[in-house]
Amino acid sequence: MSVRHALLALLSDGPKYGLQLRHAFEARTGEVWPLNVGQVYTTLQRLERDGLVASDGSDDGPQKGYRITGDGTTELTTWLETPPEMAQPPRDELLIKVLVAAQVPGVDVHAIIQTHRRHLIESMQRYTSVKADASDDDVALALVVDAELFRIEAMVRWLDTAEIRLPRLLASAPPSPAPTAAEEQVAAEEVRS
Amino acid sequence: MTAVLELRSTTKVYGEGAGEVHALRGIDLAVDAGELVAIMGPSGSGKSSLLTIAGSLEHATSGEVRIDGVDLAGLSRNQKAALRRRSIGFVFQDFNLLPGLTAAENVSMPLELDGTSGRKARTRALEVLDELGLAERAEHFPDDLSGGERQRVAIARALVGEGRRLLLADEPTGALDSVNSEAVMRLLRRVCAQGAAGVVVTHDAQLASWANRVVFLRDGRVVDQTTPAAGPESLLSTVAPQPS
Amino acid sequence: MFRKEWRQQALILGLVTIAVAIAVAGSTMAMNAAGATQPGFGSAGATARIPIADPARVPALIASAEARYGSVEVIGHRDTTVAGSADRLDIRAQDPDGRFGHSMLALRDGRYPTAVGEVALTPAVADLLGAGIGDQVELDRKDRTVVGLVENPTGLGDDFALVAPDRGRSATTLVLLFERPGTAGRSARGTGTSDPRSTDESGLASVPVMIRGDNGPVAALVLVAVASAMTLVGLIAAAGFVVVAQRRQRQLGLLAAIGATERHLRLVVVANGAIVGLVAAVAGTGLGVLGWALATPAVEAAADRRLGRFDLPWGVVLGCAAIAVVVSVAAAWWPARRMARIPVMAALAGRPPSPAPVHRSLLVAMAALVAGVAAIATAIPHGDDVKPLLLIAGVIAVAVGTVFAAPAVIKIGAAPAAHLAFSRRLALRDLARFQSRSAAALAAITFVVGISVTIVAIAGVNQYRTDEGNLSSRQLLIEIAGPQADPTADPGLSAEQSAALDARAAAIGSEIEGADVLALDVARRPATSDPADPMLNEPLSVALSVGDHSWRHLGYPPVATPELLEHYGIDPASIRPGTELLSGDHRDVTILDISRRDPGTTKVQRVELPPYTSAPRWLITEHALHEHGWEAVRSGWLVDADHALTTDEIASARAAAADAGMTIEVRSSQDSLAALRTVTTGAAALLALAILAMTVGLIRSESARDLRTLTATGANSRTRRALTASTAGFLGAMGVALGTAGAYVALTAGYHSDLGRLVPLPWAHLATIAIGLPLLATAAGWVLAGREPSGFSRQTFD
Repeated sequence: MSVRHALLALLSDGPKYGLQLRHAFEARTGEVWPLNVGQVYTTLQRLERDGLVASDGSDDGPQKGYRITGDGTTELTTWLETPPEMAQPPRDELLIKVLVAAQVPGVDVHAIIQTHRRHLIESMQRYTSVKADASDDDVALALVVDAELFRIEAMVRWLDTAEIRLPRLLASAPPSPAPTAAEEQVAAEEVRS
Repeated sequence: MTAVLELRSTTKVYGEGAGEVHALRGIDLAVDAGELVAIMGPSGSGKSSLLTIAGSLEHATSGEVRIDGVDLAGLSRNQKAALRRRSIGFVFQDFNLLPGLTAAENVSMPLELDGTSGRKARTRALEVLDELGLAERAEHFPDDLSGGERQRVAIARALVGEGRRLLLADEPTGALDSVNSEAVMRLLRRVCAQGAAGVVVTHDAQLASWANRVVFLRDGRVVDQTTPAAGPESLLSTVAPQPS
Repeated sequence: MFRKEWRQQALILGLVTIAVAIAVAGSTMAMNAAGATQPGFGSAGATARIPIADPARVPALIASAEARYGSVEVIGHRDTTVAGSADRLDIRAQDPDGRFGHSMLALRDGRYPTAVGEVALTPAVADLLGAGIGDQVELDRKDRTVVGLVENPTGLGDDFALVAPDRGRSATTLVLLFERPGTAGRSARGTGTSDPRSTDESGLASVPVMIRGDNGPVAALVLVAVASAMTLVGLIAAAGFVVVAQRRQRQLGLLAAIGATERHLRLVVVANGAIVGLVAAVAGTGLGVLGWALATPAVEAAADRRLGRFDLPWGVVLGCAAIAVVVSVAAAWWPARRMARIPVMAALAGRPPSPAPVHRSLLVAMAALVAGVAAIATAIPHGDDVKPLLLIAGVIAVAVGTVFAAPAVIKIGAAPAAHLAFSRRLALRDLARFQSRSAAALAAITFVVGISVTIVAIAGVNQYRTDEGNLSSRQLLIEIAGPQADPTADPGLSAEQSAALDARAAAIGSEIEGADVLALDVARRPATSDPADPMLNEPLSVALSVGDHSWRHLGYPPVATPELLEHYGIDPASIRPGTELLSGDHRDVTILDISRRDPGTTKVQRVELPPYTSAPRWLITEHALHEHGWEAVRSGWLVDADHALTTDEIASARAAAADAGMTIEVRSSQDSLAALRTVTTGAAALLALAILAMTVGLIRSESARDLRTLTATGANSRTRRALTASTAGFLGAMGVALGTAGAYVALTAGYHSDLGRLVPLPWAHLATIAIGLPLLATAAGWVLAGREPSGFSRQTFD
């Protein structure tokens, strides 16, 4: 989710002051998506420059009022309907680390995987406690947290699967071609990212 | 403060000779009051054995198991049963309830088994059911309840009575959808926060993340555990979202 | 499938096998016992004894008999004395392969006599003569060689010397065996002989024919017993298969989910029923036959007759086995059908089928009970003349009625569950929840209790009341000859002998305080001087006319002496002139005088005589004595005291009588009927317990997962014991209530013409069943249950 489109969405139900926008943004996305004050205002400036919002022209800062333009509404609708980018491989970094760990002699892959798993679960615990402490009707917050939890859970499950698959990779791969293959793959990943 | 549940070098071996299976190979674990601990591990890692041993349903082959400082090895069968009636609450995955009893009767079961008069036990059971939002379902039989309701009744039974010190749950949300699962875990977490010690066995990371502490089990050994989580603020530093 | 459930299958198999074995052994015993009631007939339907005064008449007589009755077997009796002794001996000329009489001869050793001068002896006669095989003995003034040892298997006390058959040429008495007139006799008449009586010059027409008693009631009882046993087989199997089917519910659901049709599902359970039925039928028959073979010696000793170990009513036995298979299949079919119809998802979830509405089964129960009661009432109109098929239908209908009443009883019985303590509540709820299996179990227990209550009650009915039996407890009968002795062999007493015996009898009577001693005389035709005509010295008997010229012998009536009339309070003036017989019997009886051409015309007057079977039931008037020129011969004395005889008095009287060569008879205690009641009560309790063990074991083992939940919740062995004990106790109590009620419904129907016979109720035995069975069931449940469920982490959590 982009800050741009979030701001457009906030303006779509009526003009607002900069300060208002910032509070509303925080309220809807929760503490989990921290923004600094500057980020809201620079984004607003860019939107105004692109003609997607219009300001009341008074001084910059919290008291300046904004409203959405016709182009802005079109942009918002188009964005809502555009599918998110799915082609990007998940968490390249983790994938690379595990693959590398599998090749480095003297490194216990299981220990590496467990360390990552622990880190991931610790962060899930933090997200969950956010959810646990929030009130039941804070749906927006719950949705944001759930999105993050499911994403991290997917990584945990990927780790679980990797842990089962890796011994097979280590056992089956002949000593010499294995590093080459891994290197090629690593190289490919780097290029893509 | 002593831990409510304490395992010291606990081992469990099933079978003999060639068919010997080492389910637990020296577990050290302490669960304090107010703490909810999740035990995670792949199938066959020994997590279910750990739960049955902690709940006095099975003997440890060696090592100590203490509940509120009392070594289970020194208790008779009947004393252990009394312990289960008064102090330990079990929540299983799918067969928690006796189909022949109503929801209220299922909940009041431990109290009645303990000799509380039927009427008194029933009043308590209705209180707990009411607290879990099941007051209207009290007179229904398990077959007439939804999966989530059944699990909540099971939790109500695990909670009923005054001296519940230890809650043991085995995949308590196994058959439930995520919203119902969340409600169940929220409940467990709340109960533990009020002073009980909880142990949840699961292989589901989402469930485990409800715990204050996650213990990783592998081949009958504790291999790792999370450090007690800091507050939500720490999220900002560790997992920063990437604004686009 | 079988491997996993071998315990359950073994239980069902065991119980069905036992039921089949009981049916086989029981019917064999009953059929054999039925034969024992009719000695002297062999397989013939009728017999006639003809005294032979003139041996030359014999061939004509036989020819005449064959014309009249068809195929006739001739047995010649020659009454003779043993040289140098007062003992008399029957020399019998009988064909060992005779058509009707072959069952009355068996070879113990050696061979049968085939030639003149050869003889075979019964063991007692051989002892008497001091002779063995190969020895020469002198009998009837002829030297004979002993060639074998024989016996009469239908009467081991029958002693005789067997000679080769000679068509009655040397007989003093001829016994003819033939089919019952009216069956074979009719066909014989069809051969063209005109009225044989008018052309008969042999005198055969005047000879009374004794008709074999009807085996109908015994056969009917055997049929009823077999039907009951088979109903029990069905109920036990149904109770078992309902549980087995329910245990397989998930399996069947899974099969249904992958596309098995209802037919496939039914087949799985029905095939199980067929296998269990087959194995149980074979094993049960084997066990029953073996049991019979083992019991034979004991039964032989009791029945005084030889019984073939393998002389089984094969038709009944094989019928039992076949019915057992059919019934098992049927018993499996019903739950199979029910299981196959459960919705797939419910089956997979292991939910029991929703209980059928109780009122419908209750309606069926009422209809079946009414029909059964009506059938039983019609089948037993007045005690005699039972219609077996209708009785069986009635018994089965009552059984079906109780089966259908079972769900309602369980529902009503389990209604107060909510107010009971925990384990009892849970037990009752489970019983009500799994209605079909608990109802089947209850039905089986009910039926067992019902049968046993019926047997106990019928034994009670048949037990003499104070005014029934052979004699009153105040009475003692002294007999000159032993009770088993053949009166035809009565040597006749000289006046001195008679007086001596009178004095002895008076002495015995005087030993007993307040006792009257009444001399009893039988009437007989004057002794002839012809020693070859001993038959005519036979006392005159009272017989019941059973059709054209055919009678059934009832007994020998004493002469109505003034003392006897006074004793029985009969005013001599009230006897109508010309009366020949005073009868306390409501039946149409007559004095049978075989010497008269037309014996059936006795003038009878009804009087009140006590119904004791050994005391006088009929009296021959002195008028008849004078009229026919009969003479009175002392046969015994009736001692009538003013108090019930004590065992001491009886013992001393018996000793005194034995000294004088007499025997005494007292009221028989009927220990056997009392024993029957007790044995039945015990057997019923055992069988009901076995059924309870099976069904309760099955029911509770099925809720093993409940037990684990209970244990995890903190239930200790006490709770688990209480659970099983309550289940067993409840089923036992309900079974007793329903079974007793059902039995008395059937009994009331059966004795509707004389309900008073059911009173007094056999309280002791009923109470034993009513209290003992539920108590035992509860105790057994308590003792056998309680083991902590094992394998928690393996089965419970993984």
